[in-house]
Amino acid sequence: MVPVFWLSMRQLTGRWRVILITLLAALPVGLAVIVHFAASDDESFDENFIDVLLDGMLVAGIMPIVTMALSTASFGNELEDRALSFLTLRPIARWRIAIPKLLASIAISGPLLIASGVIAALLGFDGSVKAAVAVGVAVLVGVIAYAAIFTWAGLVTSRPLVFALIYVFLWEGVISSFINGVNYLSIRGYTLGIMHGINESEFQVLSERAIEFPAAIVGAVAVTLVFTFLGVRRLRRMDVP
Amino acid sequence: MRARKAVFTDGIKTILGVGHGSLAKVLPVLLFGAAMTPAVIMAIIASMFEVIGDVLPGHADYYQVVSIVLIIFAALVAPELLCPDRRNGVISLYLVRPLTTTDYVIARWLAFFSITLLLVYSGQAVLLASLILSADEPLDYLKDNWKDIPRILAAGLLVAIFITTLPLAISAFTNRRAIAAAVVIGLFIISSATAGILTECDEGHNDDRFGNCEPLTGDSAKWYSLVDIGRVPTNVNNMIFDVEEEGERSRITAELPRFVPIAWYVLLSGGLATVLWWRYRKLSA
Amino acid sequence: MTTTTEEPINEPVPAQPVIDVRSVSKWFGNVVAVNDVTLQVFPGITGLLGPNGAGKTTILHLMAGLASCSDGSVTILGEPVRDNPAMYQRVGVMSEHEAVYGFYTGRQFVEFAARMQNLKPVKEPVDRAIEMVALADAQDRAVGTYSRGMRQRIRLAAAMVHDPDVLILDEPLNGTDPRQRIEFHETMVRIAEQGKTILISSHILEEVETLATRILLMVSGKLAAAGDFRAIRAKLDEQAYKVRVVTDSPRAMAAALVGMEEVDSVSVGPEEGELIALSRNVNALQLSIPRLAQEHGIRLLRVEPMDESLESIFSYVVER
Repeated sequence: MVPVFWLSMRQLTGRWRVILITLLAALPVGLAVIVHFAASDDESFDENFIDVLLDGMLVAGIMPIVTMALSTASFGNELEDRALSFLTLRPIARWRIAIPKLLASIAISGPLLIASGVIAALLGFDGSVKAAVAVGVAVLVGVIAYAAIFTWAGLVTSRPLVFALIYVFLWEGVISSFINGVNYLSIRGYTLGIMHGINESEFQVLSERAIEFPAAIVGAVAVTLVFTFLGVRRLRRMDVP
Repeated sequence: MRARKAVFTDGIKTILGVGHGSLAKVLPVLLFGAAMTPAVIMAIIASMFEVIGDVLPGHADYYQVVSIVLIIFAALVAPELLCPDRRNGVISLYLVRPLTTTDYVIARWLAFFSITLLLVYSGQAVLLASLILSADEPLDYLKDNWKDIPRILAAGLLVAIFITTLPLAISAFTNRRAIAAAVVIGLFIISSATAGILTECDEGHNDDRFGNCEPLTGDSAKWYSLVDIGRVPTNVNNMIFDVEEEGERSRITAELPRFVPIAWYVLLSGGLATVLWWRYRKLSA
Repeated sequence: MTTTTEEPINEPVPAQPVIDVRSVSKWFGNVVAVNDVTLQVFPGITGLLGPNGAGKTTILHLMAGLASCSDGSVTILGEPVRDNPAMYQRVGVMSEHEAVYGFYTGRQFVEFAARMQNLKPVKEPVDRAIEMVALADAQDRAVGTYSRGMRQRIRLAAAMVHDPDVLILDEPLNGTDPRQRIEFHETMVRIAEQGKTILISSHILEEVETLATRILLMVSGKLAAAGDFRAIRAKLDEQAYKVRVVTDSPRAMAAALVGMEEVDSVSVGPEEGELIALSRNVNALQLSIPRLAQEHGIRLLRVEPMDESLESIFSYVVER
């Protein structure tokens, strides 16, 4: 597993890619700095901060986009280059290939996005550790769940990006705004639910759209396990080009 | 000339999925359908209830209504036109023909632009046709609203130019379609959210204690509104149709001198086109 | 042994196959890539040949467990190939696709393969594999900077690093120069002499002719011929043999040959004094020619069979 993990890390961390992800992760921090120094004590700024910066930008924008770009490429690149056989023609169980690939995309995207969310929360909530922990844990769970789905997508279709974009922007973006129940089947819903569940007082503005904390945890874990299992199963059964 | 035409035709086929798998064919159809759907719905409502103008979105608002479809179309299709050729080393095969990199880029740009223009115009055409046909006096409606036609053509052209140039310029910098698509989508979403934070305030808390709602960045907010990449063609579209959208961001942008959104559009479109051209010249060197 | 168009041409083979393919078919939608193929591969070097689109790569993928059979079964060393990763401890596969991890050095690339094979320690097998493909001087360069032939060789090293009992190689000679082909030939013969099984798919008929003790010939998804190519040729009894005869009196020789029962036809060749005789009984013909020459006072300059080559077998079987 370790050789596959480090191979994937090498494959996914090109110089420009890391710079781009770092810049994206730094954006909420930069804006949080502006908000922190420019905002008055009016709570409307807190609501704006949560709605636009944490939800609109980080949870609904940067997190799925970064995870999408990395996780779909975990297997997608090898399938495109027809190099997957180099991994599968080895005496190792398929889960020992799939899991390290998944972990590598989480290892690259996770720390940067979590740091971004935590620092932005500390700045936006005047140093509130509880708010920072809520955001950090929620982003971690979101990254893991997105990574599981998009890694699977990279195996089942030659166009994982189409699937990812439709899922993120159509399902989680448009449809969930009309049908509230969709949040129970949405990683964005789980992320916001966890954020709100850990720190209800400071994330009260999410109370109308966040799902219940236990549902968010169960949903996120279930999605991660199911799509990881599906990914391993797909790798076992597929015809490797 | 033949070589350029071949590259153009190949680009059209790639966009429409000709010679590719079924998903590649289904996608353009779905996106066309998605772009047409608002027009069809508006047309049905207009024909049934004779409601037009201020009540429903009209021609002026059409681009904003379908912008998400256009962005997804641009993000998915533009990388397909440029990235695989570089990834598979096919560019060198093109350049041993009587074709320069400039010819190649122009041919690809024209192919994408043609389809984008069709996408932009098709919905407007459906809406216009239905409004004319559902009017009590179609000829009178046309006589009273004939100015909409050149406005639709001009605005559509400018929107298509922008939607074509931006994702192609981004795709010129990476061989991986996924990265290019992610950057295109990310740029639109993140610039919108960034501009939102820098320019908007929560109107729900607009109360007497604070007077009028003031953006975070004060008077500079109107300049920060330009950060939203997705609104660059919208602003020009609004100027062509001479309308002002509802919403805080539109109100703030309207405070800018009239030439500023146009100049910003020209700077961005021209700059991105130059970057695209320069990038391919560098690749061939 | 009948030689109808539907039955493969087989010659007798030893008992225990290493790779056993039984009634295997593979279809992709409406396209049947492999059609009810039964074949066996034994220790030694076996060549897999066929024109483009014959199904060679598909059958190799099926043998390597990379694809599932639509019908039939494949076993290697008695074990099923599909969903059986443990099998790869004894099997090494080199696919036709030239993709490599360009950021690795040659050594790192082979070390990665060794680690994936659970080899411990890694150094000696890697040194040996790199030495076998003569890339010791370039092992510290990034694979992305290698020439095509070097990439083929480093991929071969990665396939052989764990000293497998069975090697399946798809177009291993692509991009290699003549000197490298000679070295490859020597390496394969050395491996085969250890009792290993090597299956090579190649378009380079001359190399397979000198290297392989047995060939498998696929045409249009079916197995058209299997065995030693000379024995296969012998069994193609409906196809007359061509024999080139060069003499100082071609007219007299032609008249003498035409009178023979064993000779189907005689034609004039492009060279001076050259005749091309077609016969279904080449042994009898070759015995008769010197006698005829002596009887008619004709000086023989050259007598040689023209289709005792794999290329002629290949062409004939493909066209039939």
